[in-house]
Amino acid sequence: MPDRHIPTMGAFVALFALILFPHFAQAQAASQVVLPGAPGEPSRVVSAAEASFNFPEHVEADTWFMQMMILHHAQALEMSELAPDRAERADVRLLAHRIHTSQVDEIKLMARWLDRRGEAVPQIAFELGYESRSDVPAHHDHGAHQDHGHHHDDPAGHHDIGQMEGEPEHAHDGMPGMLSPEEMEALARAEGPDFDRLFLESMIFHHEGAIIMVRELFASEAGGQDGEIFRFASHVESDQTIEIERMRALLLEGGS
Amino acid sequence: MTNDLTSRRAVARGALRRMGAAVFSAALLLLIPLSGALHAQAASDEDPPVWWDTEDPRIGLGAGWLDAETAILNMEFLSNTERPEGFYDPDNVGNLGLANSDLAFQGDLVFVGSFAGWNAYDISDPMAPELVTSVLCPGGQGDLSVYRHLLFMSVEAGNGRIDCGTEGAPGPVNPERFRGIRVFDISDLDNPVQVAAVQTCRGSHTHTLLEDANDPDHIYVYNSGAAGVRSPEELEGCIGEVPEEDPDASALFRIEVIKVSLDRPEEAHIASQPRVFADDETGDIAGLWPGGDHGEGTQRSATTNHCHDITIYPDLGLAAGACSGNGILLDITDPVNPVRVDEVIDTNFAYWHSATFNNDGTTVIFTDEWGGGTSPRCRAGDLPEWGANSLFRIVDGRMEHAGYFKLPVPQTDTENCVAHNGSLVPVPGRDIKVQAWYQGGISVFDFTDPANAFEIAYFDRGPISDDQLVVGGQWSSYWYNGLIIGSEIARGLDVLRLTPSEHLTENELRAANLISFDEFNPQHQPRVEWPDHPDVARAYTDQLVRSGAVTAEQRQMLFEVLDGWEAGGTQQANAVMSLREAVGMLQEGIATSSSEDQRRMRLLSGTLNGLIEAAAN
Repeated sequence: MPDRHIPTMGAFVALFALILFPHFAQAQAASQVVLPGAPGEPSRVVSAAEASFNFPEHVEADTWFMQMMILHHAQALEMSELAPDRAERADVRLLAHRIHTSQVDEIKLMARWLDRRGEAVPQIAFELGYESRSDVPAHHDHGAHQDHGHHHDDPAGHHDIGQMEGEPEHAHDGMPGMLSPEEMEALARAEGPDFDRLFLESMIFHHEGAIIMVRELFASEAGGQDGEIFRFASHVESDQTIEIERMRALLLEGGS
Repeated sequence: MTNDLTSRRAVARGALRRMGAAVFSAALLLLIPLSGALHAQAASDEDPPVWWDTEDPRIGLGAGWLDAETAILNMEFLSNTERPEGFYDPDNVGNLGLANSDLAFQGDLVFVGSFAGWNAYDISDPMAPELVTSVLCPGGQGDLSVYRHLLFMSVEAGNGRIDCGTEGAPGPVNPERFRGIRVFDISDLDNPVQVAAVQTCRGSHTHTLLEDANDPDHIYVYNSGAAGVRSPEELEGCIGEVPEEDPDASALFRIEVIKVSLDRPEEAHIASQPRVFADDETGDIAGLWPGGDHGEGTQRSATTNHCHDITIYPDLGLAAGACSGNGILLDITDPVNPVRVDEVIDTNFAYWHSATFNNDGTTVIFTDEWGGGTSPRCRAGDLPEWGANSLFRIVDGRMEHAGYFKLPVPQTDTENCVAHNGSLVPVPGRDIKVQAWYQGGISVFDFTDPANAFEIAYFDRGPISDDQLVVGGQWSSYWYNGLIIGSEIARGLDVLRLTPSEHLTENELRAANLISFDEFNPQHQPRVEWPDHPDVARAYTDQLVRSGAVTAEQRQMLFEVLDGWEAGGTQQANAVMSLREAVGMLQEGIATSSSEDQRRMRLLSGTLNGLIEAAAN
C-alpha cells in the first residue's frame, strides 16, 4: 500500500507543471554531424558548427507559382460558391463544398508561404480571412531577393506589385484552366442538371490547368527547390488528379 | 460549352509556353478582387452537428512551440527530445524542409527521419533518450526502414542530391539530383555510410521492406513514388504520360520492387515494376479508371496512377496499398510479382494514404490524408467522414466497408490535422491502434468492432501558434515494446506509455507488454502471437467481465487460480486441476454466448490449456 501523506505545495506545483508543460525536457545539440558522400564514397564526420544547413532558398519562379495559384484557386472558389443554389445533385454540392474547403485552406497556406518570405500576398487571401503574423517581415522588399539567382526568368520579380502598371493587351491571356468571364457567366446562369454537368466539366478543366502550372514550376530553371514548395505543389497535383478522376466518374453517373 | 472547353484545353497547352506573358495580367489581378466577394466558408444549409464532447479538455489548449498547453488521458508523458541543432529553424519552426517524418526501430534505437536527413536515438531510458547520431542528407520525406545493418530512406523532393549535399539540384534536368531509395550501412552507427542510391522516376514518397522466405540473402523494397515523373533526359525511361503506341513504357500506374543483396547492397537495383492497377482482362495498365474510357479529349494521365503507401503483412501473404484514389489488396506470395486481388473506392476519400491490418487480418484500416497533412482538417465543420480512417472487413479476400473513425474532438484552424500514421497496440483479444493526427496529437482507439471504433486514450498539445497555422504535430505515433513513440514534426521525439483505465486494464497492458520486437518497421506488420502466460489469461478474463459474460466473482476465483499457477510447486499442481474445470465451464459458456464473447472464451481456453500443458512439462 502506498503511504498516505498530504502532498506539499511544491509537489502540487511540480505535478501541475508536469501536466501542463511536459516539455522542459532535453534539447540535445548534435555534437557531431555525419555528412555522407555519394555511394562508394566515405562519410565525413564534422562538428555541428561545421555542417552547412544552408538549403536552397526560394526563387522568383516559386513566388510566381504561389501568387498565380492563389488567383487560380480563387476562381475555383467562385465556381464552387455557385453550387449550393444551382446544383441539383447532392454529390455535386458535396464535391463543391470539399473543393471550397480545400482551396480556402490552400490559399492561406500559400499566403503564409509568401508572407514568410517577404513576398507580395494577393489581396484575395486577406479577403478570405488571412492575417499576416506580426513576427514575419512586412511586405515586400523584392530587392532583398536579388541574390537568389534566376530572377531573370520572371519579369514580375523586378516590379513592386503595388506599382505594377501591367499591359492591358495581355489582360485576357490567363493561366491554364481559367474560365473566361463569359464562361463564368454561363456557369452562373446554368441550373439543375445543366449546372451539374457544366460545373463538373469546368472544374475538370480548371484542375487540369492547375496541374499544368505545377509541371511548369518543376520544369523551370530553378523552381521547386525550396523545402516547402515541392511538397505543396506535388500535393496540388496528386489531390487534384484524384478529384478529376472523381469528377469524371460523377459525369458518367450523370449520363452526360 | 463542351466544345468551348475542349478548345480552351488546347489554349491551355499553348499557355504552357506563354506563362511569362501571363505574369502581367496576373499581377493586375493581385490588386483587383475577382468578381463578387468570396467566402471563407462555403454556404451550407445548416450548422454542422456537434459530434464531439464539448467538455473535452483538448478544446482550447494554449498555444506555443515548446510550451503549448497539453491534455492527456490514460497515458503518461515520459519525455520530449527536441530536434538537434541544425535540424530546426528557430525563426520558422514549421519549416517543412527540416520536418521530422517517419520512424523505424531496432533494439533500443529509434531512427527518426527528417526532410534534412535522419537522427538516431537510444531510448533505453525512455525518460531521457540519447542522441546517437545525426546524418545530414536532404531530400524529403526521409521515411526510414531498418533491416539489420542497413537503413533505407525515401527521397522524393527535387533538391535531393546523390552526394547528400545541401545545396539542392535546380533545373528540370540535373545529373546530380537524387530521387529514390538511399541505402545506408549502419554497422558503425558513429559513421553511417551511403552504400547505394537507387534512382526512380517519381522518387520515393514511402517504401516498405519485404523478405523473401526462399531467399535469405536479399531484402526487397516496395517503392511508392507519388510525385511527378522526372524527365527522361535525367533518368532514362521516365515517361510521364501513357503513350498510345506503347502504354507499357509509362512510369505511371506502377510500383517499383527494389532488390537489395544483404552482403552487396551496392548492387541494389529495380527488379520489377509491377502494374498493380492493370485490368485483369484487358491488360489496360490503368485498370482502375472508373467507368473505363471517358472518350476523346480526356487526359489519361489523371487517375489512380500511384500508391502512397503500402503496408505488408507477410504472414498473410497480403499487402494493403493506399493508392491515390483507391485502396487495393495485393497478394505478395511472390515478392517480385505482387498481384492485385481486390480494390475499393470510397467517395468520401480525397487521398488514400496508408493502411493498417488488425492482427487477425480480418480488418484493414485505410487513412485519408485529405489536404496532404499541412491543412486543418479536423475542425468542427469538417465532415467526420473526411480526412478520417475508413475501416473495412476482409471477407474471403474482399473488402467490405464497415465504418469510419476520426479524431473525436475538433481542432483549431491553426492546427494541421488529418488521419496519419499509426500501429497496433498488441492487446490480446482486441484490436487497438495508436495513431498520429499531426497537431490533433496522438489518439488510441479500439476497433475490435470496425463498425464502432472508439477512442480510449489521447495526448494533445495546443497549436504551435494561435494566430497562424504553423505546420507541426505528430507525423507518426507507434507502439514499440511497451512505449508509445511519437515523431513530432516541429517538436522532436515524444515518448509516452499507456496507463490503466476503464478502457484498458492493467492486465491487458501487461499482456501487451509481453510482446517485444527486435526490429520494427511499421509498414511491415508482424503477426503477434501471445505466449501462454497468466497475464494473457487475465487480459481475456477482464474483457469477458467488461462485456458481462463473466462476473467479477468468477474473475476473482480464476485470478486466484492463476496466482497459484505462478507460485509453482504444489500450488501449481492444484491450479492445473482448477484450470481444467475452468476450461470445461468455458466450453459450456461458448454454447450460449454472443459471437464476440465466444471468440474471447476460445482464446481464454486456448491460453489456459497452454498453461495446463506447460505445468505438465
